[in-house]
Amino acid sequence: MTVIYILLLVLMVIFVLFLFLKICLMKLSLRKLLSQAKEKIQNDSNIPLTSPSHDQDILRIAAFLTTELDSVLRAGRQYTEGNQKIKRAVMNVSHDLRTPLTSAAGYLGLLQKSGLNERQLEYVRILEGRIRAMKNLTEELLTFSVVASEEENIPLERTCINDCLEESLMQFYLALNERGIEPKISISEKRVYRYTNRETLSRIFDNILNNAVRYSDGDLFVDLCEEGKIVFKNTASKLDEVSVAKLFDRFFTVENARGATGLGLSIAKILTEKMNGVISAGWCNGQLEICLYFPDQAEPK
Amino acid sequence: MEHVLQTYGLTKFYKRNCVVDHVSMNIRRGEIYGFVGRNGAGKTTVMRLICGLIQKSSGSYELFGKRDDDARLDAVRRRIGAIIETPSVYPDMTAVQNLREQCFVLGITDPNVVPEVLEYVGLQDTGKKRVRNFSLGMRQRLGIAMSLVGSPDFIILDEPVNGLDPQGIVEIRELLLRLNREKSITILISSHILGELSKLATCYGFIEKGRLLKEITAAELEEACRKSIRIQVNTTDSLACVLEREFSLFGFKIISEHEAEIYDEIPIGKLALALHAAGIELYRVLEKEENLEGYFLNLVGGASQ
Amino acid sequence: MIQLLRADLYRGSRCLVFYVFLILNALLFLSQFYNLYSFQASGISVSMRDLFVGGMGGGIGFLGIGSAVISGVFVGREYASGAIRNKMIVGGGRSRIYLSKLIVCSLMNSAFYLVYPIGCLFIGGFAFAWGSNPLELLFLVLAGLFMVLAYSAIFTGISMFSQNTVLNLVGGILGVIIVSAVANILQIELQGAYVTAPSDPETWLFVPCQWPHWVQNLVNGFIRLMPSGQSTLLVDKSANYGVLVALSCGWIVLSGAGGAILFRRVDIK
Repeated sequence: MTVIYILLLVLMVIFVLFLFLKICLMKLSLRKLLSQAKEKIQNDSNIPLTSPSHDQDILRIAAFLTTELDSVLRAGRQYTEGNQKIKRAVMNVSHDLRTPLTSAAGYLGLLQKSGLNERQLEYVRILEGRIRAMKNLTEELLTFSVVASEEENIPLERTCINDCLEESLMQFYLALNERGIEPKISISEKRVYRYTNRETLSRIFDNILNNAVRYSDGDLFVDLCEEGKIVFKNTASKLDEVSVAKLFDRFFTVENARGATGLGLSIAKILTEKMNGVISAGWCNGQLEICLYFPDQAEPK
Repeated sequence: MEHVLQTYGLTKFYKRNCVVDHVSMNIRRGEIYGFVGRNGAGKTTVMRLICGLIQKSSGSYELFGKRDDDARLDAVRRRIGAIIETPSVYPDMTAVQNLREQCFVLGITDPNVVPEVLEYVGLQDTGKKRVRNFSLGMRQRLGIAMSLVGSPDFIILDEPVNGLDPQGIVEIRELLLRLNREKSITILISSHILGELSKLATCYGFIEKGRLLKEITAAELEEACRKSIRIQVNTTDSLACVLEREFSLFGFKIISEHEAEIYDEIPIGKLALALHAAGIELYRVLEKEENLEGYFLNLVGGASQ
Repeated sequence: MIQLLRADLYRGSRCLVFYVFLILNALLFLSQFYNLYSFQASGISVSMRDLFVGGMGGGIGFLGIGSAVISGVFVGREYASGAIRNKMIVGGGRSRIYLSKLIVCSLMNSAFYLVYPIGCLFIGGFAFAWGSNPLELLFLVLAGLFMVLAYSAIFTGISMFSQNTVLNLVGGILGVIIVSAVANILQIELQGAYVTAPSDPETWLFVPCQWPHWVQNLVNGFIRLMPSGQSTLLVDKSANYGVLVALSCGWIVLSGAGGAILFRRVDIK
């Protein structure tokens, strides 16, 4: 009898040990599945989930998760690829438009000199204006598509924002005067330095000022405070709260304003964000307020 | 876009011979990187270094953002598949057995993986045939299948089309393009013939005597090898009229306000006269004519002087 | 690690040389069994120990040659086909690859060795008397097992670093034969000899070994350290199994730890 008891006991101990090991292995496998799934998503990786335990149920979970994650990742890739393709197409189209447009302008010049009567000349002048507008549009579209699809980082260096802003304002002095806008400028005495790119920064200012010239009702406030926050403010009766929220959207224009592509501010936003800055638009009491801010950070890597 | 592989001044000495000399290459996600160099230029050695088969002498590299001294490097190596020199397969086993062994190494338990991969490379009908009886092309494809069983994100192929017939080359090229497109696998592929890669690669690295001479995108290479005449003038406004009317020429492109590129044949002397007559000042004429091999030989020749 | 082991076992189970040596050892057992059986039939008393001792490889180190060939071919083929690169490229880890090879080679060599004792147990038991203490026989088999493990450790190490099948085989077989021969000769020298006395050719005199004491100790140590030397000792009843097992363990640890660490810095062809 005792022999049978001992045998039973031994068998039970072996059974319990087996179960214990099995549970440990399954727990380990589940833990591994979780970490592998996380990694797979984070890295957008093709690697399938594997488990050290060959338990059929766990293997089924692993296989299911692998196929599902794969299809999610594939959808994501297709999306980015499609996006990239469109950007490239826009770039190519705007590039290819340049040659025929220039050619058309050239012929128009010849046409003007070929002894037209008054009425014909009038039409040619209109045509010329339209072609110039078209040229501007394609240029801006090209700039936008280049900026949007560019993956390289902009080289950042310590730049004085005061100088850059003053320079941009100076260039716009004439345009502002033409529109009868008397800008009110207050630039902080203290020189503000930030890690940005001077050329890009002045492009941002130009785009914002361009926008102001086009839509202002006759005033413009520019303010650079000591903390480095830059505010552009102008009355803009054509805008309202809803349209201000869309201001940075691609191809958004207030009305079918001539020569406006609705890309200027989008470009400004993309460039600002590439230089780790923040740009925002607000609306209060009929005034449009565009705030630009570059945080004062240590030297970037 | 993130980098799959970056090397920083990677160097390898064999005794006193410098086989790889400060190679700094960058491969981004989703690219097909053509690694071009003559035989013995150091292509294979660079690949061995990256795969961890041999020890570097100095420099460092990063795989999927993990440096080579990082303890987690072995974990990211799981995302790589490679064929170095010859396909690494056991000649006395069948294709299925070879793949099954690699499945064990990778911990893959899904029984569908092996037939799927075999079908992908077109070897589904080999049955019980041992690898030693395979043709070169079949062996090469089995090698690719071996690197694919783990569904890698990055595959490294050392001269995969070497010694194949033209038909085989086309097949492998199609296969690689499909992998890159469908599974967005980044590919590093080496060859000593630039032309072989020209329909495949999106980016090139040229290596000679262990030094990486140049990294260039396919678009830039095509630009560099396109036969063209580049002219600089004071204004391109009426340039198009002149070209179209006087020379009935349409193969040109206006690049900026002062530059244009002409792709068709054009007599330079007449062009200069016609431009002068139209009141356009011609500043510079730059003629470019090079084919792919010429470009490569120029580059290599320049380096060996 | 588990994955690498599974892969190596998969291939090990398809290794032809392994089965050849398995069968060879079985044949060796059968011939030994037949010999002893005919001795017994002709009236000479034979014990189980005599049967067991026949499986220790004897003077030429059969077990050593078998281990050398099995390990050499198993590891060498992986280098010849280049498949070891497949494991490194996917991040198998050098040390883990080495240890996995060591374990699988040890398993194969143990199986190769154990064919003989298992045969003794199941077939010999019916034919011969359990002469001496069965526990001593168990120790004998265990000591033999550790000797084979030491062989595996040495030859796996050699094969992993030489990266060449032919070199493994030639080096392994020659090494085993030479060490066995040297150990045999030294053993005989140490035991001393009977010589005829110069004065009277009819009288045999026992002359113990004339070498200095420290040389004798050194030679003794050498014989015990070398697995091939151990196989000559195991035949002898006076062998101290504990010391032999300890020395074998030394080999295993040396190969397991040292080899795994050194293997990290090896350039693979």
